[in-house]
Amino acid sequence: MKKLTAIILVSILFVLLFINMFNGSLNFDKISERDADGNYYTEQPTSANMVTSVVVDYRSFDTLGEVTVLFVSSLGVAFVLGGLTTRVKSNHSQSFILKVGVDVLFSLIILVGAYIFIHGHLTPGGGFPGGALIGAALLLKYVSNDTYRANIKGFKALEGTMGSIYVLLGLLGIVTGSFFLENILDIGTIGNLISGGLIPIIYVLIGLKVGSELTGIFDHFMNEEV
Amino acid sequence: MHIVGVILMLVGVYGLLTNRHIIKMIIAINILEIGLNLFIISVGYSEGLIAPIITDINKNASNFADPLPQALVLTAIVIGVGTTAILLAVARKLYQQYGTFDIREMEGGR
Amino acid sequence: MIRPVLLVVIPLLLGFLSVMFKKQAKPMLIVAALLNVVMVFVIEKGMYYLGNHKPPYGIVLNIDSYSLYALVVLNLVFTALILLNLVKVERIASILLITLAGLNGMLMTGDLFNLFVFMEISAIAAFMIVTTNKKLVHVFNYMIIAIVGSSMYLFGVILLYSQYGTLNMDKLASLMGENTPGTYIPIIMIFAGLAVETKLLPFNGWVKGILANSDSFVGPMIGSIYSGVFLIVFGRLFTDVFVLSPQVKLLLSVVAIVTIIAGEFAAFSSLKLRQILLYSSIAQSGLAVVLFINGYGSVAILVVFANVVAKLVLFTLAGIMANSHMETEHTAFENIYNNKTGNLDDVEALSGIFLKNPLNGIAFTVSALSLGSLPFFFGFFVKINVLYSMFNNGDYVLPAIILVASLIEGAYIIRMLVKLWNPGKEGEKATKEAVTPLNYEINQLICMAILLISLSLLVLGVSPDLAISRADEAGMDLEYNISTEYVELEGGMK
Repeated sequence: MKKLTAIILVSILFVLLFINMFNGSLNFDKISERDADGNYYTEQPTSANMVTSVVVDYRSFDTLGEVTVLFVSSLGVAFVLGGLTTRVKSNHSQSFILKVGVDVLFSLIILVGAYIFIHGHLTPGGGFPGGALIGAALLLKYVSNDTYRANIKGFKALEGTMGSIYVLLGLLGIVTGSFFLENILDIGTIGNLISGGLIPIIYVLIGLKVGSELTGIFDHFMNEEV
Repeated sequence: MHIVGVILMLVGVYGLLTNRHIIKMIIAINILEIGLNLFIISVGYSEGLIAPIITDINKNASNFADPLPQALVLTAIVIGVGTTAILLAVARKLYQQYGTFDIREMEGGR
Repeated sequence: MIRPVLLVVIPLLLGFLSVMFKKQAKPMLIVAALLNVVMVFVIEKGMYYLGNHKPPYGIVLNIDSYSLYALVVLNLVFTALILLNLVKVERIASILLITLAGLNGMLMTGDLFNLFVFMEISAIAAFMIVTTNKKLVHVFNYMIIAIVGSSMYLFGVILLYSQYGTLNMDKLASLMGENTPGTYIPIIMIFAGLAVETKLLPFNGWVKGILANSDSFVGPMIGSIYSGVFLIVFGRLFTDVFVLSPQVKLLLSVVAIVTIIAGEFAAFSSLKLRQILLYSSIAQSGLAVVLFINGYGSVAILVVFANVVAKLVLFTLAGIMANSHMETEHTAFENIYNNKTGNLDDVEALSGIFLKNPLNGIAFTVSALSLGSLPFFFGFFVKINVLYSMFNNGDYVLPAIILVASLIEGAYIIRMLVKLWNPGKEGEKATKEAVTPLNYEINQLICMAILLISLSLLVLGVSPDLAISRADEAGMDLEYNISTEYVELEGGMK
């Protein structure tokens, strides 16, 4: 009975949305004015990957907010699940091949993750997927090995430091007389590895921060009370 | 493309309305967010546009896809990850406290 | 000449640092809050371009009289709340630093997506603050509803972007005509998203669970500060940015009016103290929303301000009374209430408690009477202003509804106060024995501080000129949209 009412409700919603959205009153074919007016973002690009220059340069404040969201989430998980110290033991015996295989793959995955966030201003990706890969590598270590615990204190220190450096870099903008989060370094030639001013630095910071936060979260979930 | 995003969002809403198992509710919220992100990306794209990366081949090309929705989606995905992490932490605490994942039983025992 | 972004950045920086220096988290919190209060009085007005990118490509921070008014109220109330609860704050000091940054950012931003990001920051921080509640199921419900609400908000913003090509609030305001088709759905989506936090009717299922069991920190934080901030944001969006067609206005006003009426009736029939307060909060939110939608911006700001201060005092006292270990003087009562050493907020059970704590009683009474808009209190002036501007505009239906709601409100507030001051059943003579044997402990300093805060409502009631003139100024900025000049003059690349 409940499923039936839910289906009816959702289909009514769908029909309403469909009628109002796709009957031509909202036209999705129109490209946004930014592009129609002559490609604003491309006329003065700050890095080769335009999405990066939007995320880290034009909308850097949003990225700072997003980094804060992850920070609060990891604080929250630590707060709710705090104080657990022993690893959850899995039901089956640990396979030796799995452990060794993961040890081999671990460094490769970290390398790929680091590559992604270092080249964030040249290729798609950037800090967040790179950091997520690093977090995934550590999760792999946790899953494959029953007694493994990462150096949580080190990761928490890394996380806090990276976040503070990001904010301090923004404050540098104020100190040099301009606005917060201004891109103060030289842009260089588009397409080189060292280009785009602050952008690659910020992406490295974000990548490391996201990686350490995700590791912290995984660690909390993989523990239980004695 | 837009319709697929909307359909996924509605699937998420349906899942949220009908399920009483906490983990399934969390998965339904994730589907809702995936649908929303898909919808956002599809806003900036039309036929024939290419990825907005300046390379030697296509400097100053005028048919780049809109980079702004892609930037918004980056942020939205990360926010979704953050909320899912907290939801799962609370779900685990709830399981420890009540021994069940059914939300009706938890509310009933007020 | 302080840059306004520092109001957000300094708490954020201290929040990041406080993870590494856990012992210094609480002093950092107090320093940040006080610093914010000082800074908010000296920041410069105007538009602030983040990263030196001109709008609409970059993000702007919009500091005008409206934001300034809200920022002053927010920072003062937040600092007061922290100073009143120094012991409880210790565990969650880092999260509170981020909360301060998030709430300030919400009030200052001039960009729709930036508003979404800061709303999420504040929402996740609120989830964590509420987790100190005892019943986790209510926290879970709150989280689910808040996440769905913010997703709807984002959906509405993206639909608006696909129509108008901009996320900047000022540019959107200048582009949005009144009868453009296809803006119904985005506006309704954004309304639904904000309605979750502003406790409007279809979406406020979480309020009872969270606030009915709150202690003296969570209650004022969620019921007073978060309410106020979200209502101010709502006002900015729906007055400054969106142009609503009359049908949409009617629909949204109906939702808000139903909320007011339902809230007042529910408060009238509640027996527990915190439930009365939370239903009254719901009704006040509905009132502010209906005022904002129909264009009465300056009085809506006054309603929000009066509600924030009054609820701060009321929720704090209610939380303290309900959650401290009640010491009983009679063993008979002890047998009845023996398993409930906290959470006693039946008005019946607390009858006559103010006779024992007269100072708290005065504080509570002043705030409650201001809420119920009795003369000589600030709430009275607010109501009079509301009704006056409505009659000026020739509107008669809305004032009638508001008057009916105020009557019900006055009735239950007076009934609650009478019960709390006068022991014994109605009709009987008040005797010493009928006074409740329950008592609670309260720190002397906190007692004094709460009394001072509530007396401010009395002072403002007698001479409300400062508050009203500031609110008028803020309302002007809200309606006449002076800041669009900047966008048109300086649009373009650098």
